[in-house]
Amino acid sequence: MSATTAGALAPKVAGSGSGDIPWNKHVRQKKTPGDWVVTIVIDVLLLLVVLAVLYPLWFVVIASFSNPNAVAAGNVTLLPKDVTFVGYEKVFSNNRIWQGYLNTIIYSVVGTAVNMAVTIPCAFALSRREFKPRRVIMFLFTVTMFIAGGLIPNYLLYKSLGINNTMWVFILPGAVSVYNVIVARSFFETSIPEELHDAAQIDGLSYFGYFFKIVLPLSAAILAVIGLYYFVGHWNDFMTGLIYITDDRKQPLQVVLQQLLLVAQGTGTNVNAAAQQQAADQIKFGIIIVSTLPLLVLYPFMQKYFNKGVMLGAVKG
Amino acid sequence: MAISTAHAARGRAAAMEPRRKRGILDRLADHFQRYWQLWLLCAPALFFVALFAYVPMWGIQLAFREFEPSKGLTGGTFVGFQYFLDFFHNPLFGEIMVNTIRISLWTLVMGFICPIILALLINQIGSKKVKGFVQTVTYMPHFISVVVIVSMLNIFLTPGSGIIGRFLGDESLMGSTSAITAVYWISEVWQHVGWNSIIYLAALAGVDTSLYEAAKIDGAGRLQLIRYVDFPAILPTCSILLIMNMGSVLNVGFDKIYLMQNALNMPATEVISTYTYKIGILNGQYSYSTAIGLFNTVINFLFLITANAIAKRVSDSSIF
Amino acid sequence: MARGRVRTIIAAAAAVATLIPLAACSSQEATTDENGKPIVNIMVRRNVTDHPMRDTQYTKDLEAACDCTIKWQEVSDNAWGQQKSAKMAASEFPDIGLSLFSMQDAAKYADYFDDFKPALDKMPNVKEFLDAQPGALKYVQEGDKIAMLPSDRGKGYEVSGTHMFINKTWLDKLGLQVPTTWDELETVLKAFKTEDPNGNGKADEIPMNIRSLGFGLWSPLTLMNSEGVVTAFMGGGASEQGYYVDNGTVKSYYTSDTLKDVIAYLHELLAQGLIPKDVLTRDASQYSAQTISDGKTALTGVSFGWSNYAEFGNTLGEEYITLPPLKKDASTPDSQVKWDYSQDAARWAYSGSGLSVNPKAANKDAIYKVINAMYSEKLSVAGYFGSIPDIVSDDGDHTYTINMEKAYAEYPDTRAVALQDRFGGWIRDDVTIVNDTNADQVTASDQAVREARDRVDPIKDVIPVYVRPDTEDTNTLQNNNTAISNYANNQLAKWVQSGGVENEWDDYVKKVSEPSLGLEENIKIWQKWYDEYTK
Repeated sequence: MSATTAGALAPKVAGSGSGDIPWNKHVRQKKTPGDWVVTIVIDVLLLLVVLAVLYPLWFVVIASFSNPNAVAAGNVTLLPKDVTFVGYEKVFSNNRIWQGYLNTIIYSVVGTAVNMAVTIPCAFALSRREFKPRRVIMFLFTVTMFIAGGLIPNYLLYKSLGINNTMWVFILPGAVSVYNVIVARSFFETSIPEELHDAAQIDGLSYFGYFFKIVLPLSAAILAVIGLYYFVGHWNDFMTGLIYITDDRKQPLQVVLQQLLLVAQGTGTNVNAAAQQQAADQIKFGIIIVSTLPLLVLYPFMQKYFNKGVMLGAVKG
Repeated sequence: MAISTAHAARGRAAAMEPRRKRGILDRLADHFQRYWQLWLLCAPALFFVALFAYVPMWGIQLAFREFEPSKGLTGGTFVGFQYFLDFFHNPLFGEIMVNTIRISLWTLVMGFICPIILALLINQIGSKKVKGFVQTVTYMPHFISVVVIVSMLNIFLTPGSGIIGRFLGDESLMGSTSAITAVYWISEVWQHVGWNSIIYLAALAGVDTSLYEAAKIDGAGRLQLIRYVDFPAILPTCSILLIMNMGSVLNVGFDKIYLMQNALNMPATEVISTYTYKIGILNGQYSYSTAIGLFNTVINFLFLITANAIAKRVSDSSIF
Repeated sequence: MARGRVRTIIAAAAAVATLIPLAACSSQEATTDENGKPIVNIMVRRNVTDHPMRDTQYTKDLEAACDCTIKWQEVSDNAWGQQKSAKMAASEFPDIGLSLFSMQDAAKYADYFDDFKPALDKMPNVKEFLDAQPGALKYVQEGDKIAMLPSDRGKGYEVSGTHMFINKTWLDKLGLQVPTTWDELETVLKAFKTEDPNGNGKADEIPMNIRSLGFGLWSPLTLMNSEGVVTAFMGGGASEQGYYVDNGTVKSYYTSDTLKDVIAYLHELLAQGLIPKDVLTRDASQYSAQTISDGKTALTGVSFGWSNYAEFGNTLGEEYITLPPLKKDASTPDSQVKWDYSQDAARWAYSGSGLSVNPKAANKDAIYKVINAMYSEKLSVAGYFGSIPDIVSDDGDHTYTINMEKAYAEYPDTRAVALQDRFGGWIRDDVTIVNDTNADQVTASDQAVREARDRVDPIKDVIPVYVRPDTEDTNTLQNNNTAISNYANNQLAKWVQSGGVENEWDDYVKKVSEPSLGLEENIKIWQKWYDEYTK
């Protein structure tokens, strides 16, 4: 890809508002039959993508209702076979599941709130080009994406902080995702026009004022994306509970579900291995549905914000 | 609470221009006076990164020491680069590196391009309902656990009965050293393409609709709209993500490839992460596995720094 | 300027304030309860979805014996696998650990494993046990120190971990004899494939099914015993890494002609469709779908497993018998045919087992009392099978009966209501357990292989499970084995899949013996430790 194009075009798109459209001279003046071809190609491609994605999803759904042996033997393709709800019964008959749901919701909501409160202001600060230390800070942040102490030092640290086996272990260590800081920062850099900052200065706004009154309201889309990233990250977080939580009542949903699944693992010689394998297979697919449904409900709600084309309209106004 | 504004600060900066050579303390004070709000905004993040990322880094010295539990985590004898040399001289070293790079490059490149294409495609959908539907559907696979993904691969690829396997003779692709890379990256792209396109869709949402209108009036075709309006809008995001991707050249996620391994495909599926697991967790050689991990991250970091430097030269999007 | 500086300082101070670490508040855990009784913490690796141990009569009985309060902590296999290294490094060792650590851990973290030897006088039950089971004692000794306590689940489990099953119903239906040689087996398998023995009119029979090709439980490589190369595929010993002993000399399966024969034979079967072609790429779900089938119509002719009921389910299991160890061909003398020698491991050295005590624990006397009680006859039974009298009844005369309805409500064994194989205890040989279906079934499955197994010399023919190299040698062995198996296992799989073993074997042997892979070094290491332990 041509990065120079990015350099040349991006600011113009972002900062547009003048009537000068640079590609004007390149485009033809009339609609062509070629457009129809493009339209058809696009539609066909999208149809293929949707089908390719939909079938395995459908498979997960029907497999969760089918006899696990029929699934593993390849006899389930389009419709469920030997319909059974045993898997779901097993999942929901376990009363720890509701505690798990509650825990996960708490960890995800509180965790995401902390994440956002920490990440977004930082990303904003680092997006200010006149803020010279930002390069060093960015570098120090980026290093941590690669070099980590590892499990044992982490465990010792959390232990000395006293957050092992508390809800804080889900929230504090992952408070900042450098990846998300970078994504949010580059959004602030490229999508919020610099003219706004100049205007804010003229109005006598401090950085606080500029950030809270102007930048945040214009950033619904990126806030939604980053929020979703964090929320889903918390929701799917499985290792934290597994390693740092010893009290079962504090375990999040993912761990509770995994525990149901992993009942099958034994030393092999004292268990009815095949029957245990079957018991696990029975709930393997259902678990996906149970744990993902809330997120599927969440998504369309978030989608609303992605479609808010706010930034550039504001420039003109 | 604050009266100080950048504007005022700028004015003062201009006023101070003549006496540039001031003491470092003065300059620091001036800096903080101007930017203390920015410092405050990133202070919590700095704190968390310092505490939870930098403090545990003392554990890295394990890579240079023999692990002796009785003397604490890092109390063992210093052995320098011995564990690194062990790894380089390992008969599997070449195979592991080649596998890691092959699998990760495929996944990286395809996993980078496909979400961009998908986002551009989705953005072309006129109907809001259809758009929402496609977005939701493509995003869902992200939530399927790796265990289930690998079971589905096994079932779909089963010779004779699998919906793909029935067309492919009587041996499963899962056992083929030549096909396993493709099985890996295709399933990886399938699972994450929708999720990874979200960020681009958000960027596309920011495109001023009047640009489209203006372009249409000027007679731009559909393809031109994509090329000259949509594409530039996501380019900055693309380059940032590409740089970050470059930093994972040696990363092949552990779980999935480990579950996909079998005796037949092993020469193509043993990668750094699975080898580290076997050495570190299964065999309990923490020093050795820490050293391999460190080697891995150093290479990755070099790639990232290079990518960043290039990006900085040719465009203005870079990470640091 | 002055005001600016003040503001700067305030801002800087605010920034620093947020950097002050969170106050740590991990209080020391209490060592006595509110009544002043000592507290003993026991951690056990177990399914956390099962009935919690703290609610059981077993725990009350233990508490009565030690006059202390027991606090259980149960951790799943999966979680423990993740936590273990961190907890050990953080020196978090429970007072009593059940099934948490291996002897390798005990060697590495010697300071955190109590020596039971001086305490044996306080634990007469344990002393009696170790005197009765010297092999078990060897397994847990680290030099002179007894670093862990093994458990013995009784003679009901003195069985091979692996058995080869054949569908007797099919044989009878087709009028065939139980095969005794590899060739006869092949003939039978062909008949299974073509003559529709399950009678459903479809050619859906799988004449022979295998899980994988490793040196481990339920591997078809146990066929090596047909030529007198003994396996012991359980308990994590030398055999599972690919080493055996031939009259005192350590060798590797990897370079033995017997392995070549087995691989060639398996390929012959696979090439004719007698073993499914995708067998080496399937996962466990797909395998058990074929063995258990729909629970009514059997699909599988021959396979390897623990007991026929465990392998094929409770209904279909009826159709299967254990195949007595096959001869390679009719000329093979009976005396040469052996079988998988894993009964020691099945009985007391199953993976990751053992009871450990933290030497820094607060209430050592109470701990020893708890352990002594655990190894008493009655509480050993209760620990393994379920509390007395809630689930198991004590019928007197060393006979105990498991209440089927209560104990087997959720699982085919008593896993949900008791510690099962994660227990600490000793089921004595004179104890009779009624209704231990798992033991009854596997013992029945084991009858057919006993004769062949009895021909195995426990020292000359196998490297006993208690032979344990030290930490440094273990690391070398493991690193070499990772490289060896990466190359060799793939070769074996390829040959089974596509053939060619006859032509390529010599090249392979040359390559696998190259010093860089370390096979020779490993053999030397095992020889050294084998000699050390068996002299």
